[in-house]
Amino acid sequence: MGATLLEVNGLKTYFHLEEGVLKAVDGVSFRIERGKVLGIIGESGCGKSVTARSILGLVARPGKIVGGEILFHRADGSVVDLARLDPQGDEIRDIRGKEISMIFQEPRRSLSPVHTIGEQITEALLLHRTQDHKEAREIAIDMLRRVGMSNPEVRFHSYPHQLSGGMCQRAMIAMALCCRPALLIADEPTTALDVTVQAQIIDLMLELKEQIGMAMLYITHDLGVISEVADEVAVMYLGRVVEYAKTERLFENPLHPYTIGLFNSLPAFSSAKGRLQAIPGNVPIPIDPPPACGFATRCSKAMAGVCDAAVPELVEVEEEHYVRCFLHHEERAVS
Amino acid sequence: MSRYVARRFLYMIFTMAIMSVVAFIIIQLPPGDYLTSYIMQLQTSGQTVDAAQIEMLRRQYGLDLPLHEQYLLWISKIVRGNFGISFDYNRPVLELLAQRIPITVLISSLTLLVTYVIAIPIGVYSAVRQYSIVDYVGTVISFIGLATPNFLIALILMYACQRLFGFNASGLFSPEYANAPWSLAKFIDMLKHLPIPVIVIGLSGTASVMRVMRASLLDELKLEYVEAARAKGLKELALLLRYPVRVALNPIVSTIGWVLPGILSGATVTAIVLDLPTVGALMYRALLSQDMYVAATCVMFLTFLTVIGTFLSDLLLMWVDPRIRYE
Repeated sequence: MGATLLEVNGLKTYFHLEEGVLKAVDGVSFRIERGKVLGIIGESGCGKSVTARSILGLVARPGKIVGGEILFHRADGSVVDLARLDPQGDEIRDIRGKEISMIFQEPRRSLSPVHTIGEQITEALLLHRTQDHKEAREIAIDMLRRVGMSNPEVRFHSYPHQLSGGMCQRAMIAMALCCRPALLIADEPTTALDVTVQAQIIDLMLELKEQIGMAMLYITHDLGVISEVADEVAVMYLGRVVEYAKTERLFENPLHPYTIGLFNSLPAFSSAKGRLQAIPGNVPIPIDPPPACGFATRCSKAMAGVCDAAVPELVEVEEEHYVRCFLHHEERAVS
Repeated sequence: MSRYVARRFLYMIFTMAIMSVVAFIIIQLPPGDYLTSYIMQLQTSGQTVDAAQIEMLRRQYGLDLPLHEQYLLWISKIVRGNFGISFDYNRPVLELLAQRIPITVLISSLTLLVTYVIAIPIGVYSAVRQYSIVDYVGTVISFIGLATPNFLIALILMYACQRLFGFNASGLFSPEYANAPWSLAKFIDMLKHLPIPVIVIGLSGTASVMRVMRASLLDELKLEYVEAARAKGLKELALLLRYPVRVALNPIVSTIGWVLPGILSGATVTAIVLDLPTVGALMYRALLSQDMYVAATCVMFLTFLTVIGTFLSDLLLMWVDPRIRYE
């Protein structure tokens, strides 16, 4: 086991709405080692993006972290609980963009439309790395070159609308990585891109990850992408981690009915010919959810009186393979 | 880019030429001309009307010519800087306007400045702290500002001024300075008279700029680039001003063009109530008495301001928004 970089324990992020309490993240725990990639997979609305934003203190009102801890091991060796930091305070701002960076789903919309990409990259550098504008400019152009932009000196002066989506995502990656963060949070970074561009961007990210030696939290709903990038996978459903294992183990032996459903709904993994086996129904909205397994309403193996009566614990069913399901409850529960 | 500017400039000249024709036609639309209303005036005061003299006047002013010849005569004089004569005041139009334009521009630009200085910060604050006390108070005041007719506010303020301070707020100068040459005392006197017109004329503009700023910033704040900038570690205020506010200002920049003539003509009623010597008030009187050269020049002045203002705000917008620059 390598050195721990980030440890999330029982994180709860709730949105207090007029209709009730929306429990977007309801007791999520995971651990990321230095230099490793944790993939979080789940459908829209499962809380994966809110989890990512909780780490950086970017949860927008009326959302709020109401419980749990996010322990981050800083470069200077200290450990801080990001969940307790003032989201507008100096300490979290010092970590943002410098030790933990983030890239987003819509590359073009994540860049300011009225500033050149050069201005936006140098801004991060001037905040965290150097006071010298000339040096910042040189680092920015070097970063643009490293993310595979042709003519970086010219691209430095380009506006986002002059670049393709893939180029914008490269610029975004350059901006996120220019301060050499220890952790990169990638929130569906390739979802909005063409498949061919997707592969290029993923390769680029993995390559830069090795060069910089950073860890990644990779959020996606795409199992194919996860199998390529992640060392470990957390499957999320309705604000909770329902299965958590090393990537190979999860792909060899998925245990939670939801994970199995995800695999079966993929064309390549589906055994039956003809129609895809979609998971029936939609993700419910977790406003004041009942104390039950969140997946019970859509699960073909749901047991009446069991699954709708209590929230199952996350149990270790085999070594380093955790599942939150009553079907696997004979095994030892982890508190 | 320079081709775009050149093209816009040509369009502007073309629009102005068309507008001069339209302005002239509009002035000619009401039945009769200045002489008909002049004759009426003479008759009501019991004077006899000499038909020969009227005919002579009509020929002298070219009122017997067909419309297109009148227009050509008028426009060819304007090109040479002669805007004609006011029948009513019996003075050159240019001289009348020269008196009023500086005052109009002073009041308008001051109003514009006050409008933006007040409206933009409140709009920004309302958006960032949506549904806070300040937001609600701002919203209520801005709706009152939008819904209340300017002349009513003018009357209320004048009444309040008279009752509370014993100060006669009408006009831009107190009677003793009205025809006096410029002096420090006259200037101070003018400063005392300025706040009421500025408040009255600026209120609805302030209210609408506030609403526009709030709405457009609320749209921007939701966008991903704001969050991405926050994820870089920027301070909240710097972030706000550098990114979303900067983008949200675009709709306001693009409307500067028509806010300017809007303030001039919209202020006409206020100017009459407050007895301000502005172009709007002059135009109103000229239209009533069919003082055609004055009226046509005023209408043209306002339309030209609109066209020039739009051109300027297009240039401004091009400067602040690169998406337009590289269209």
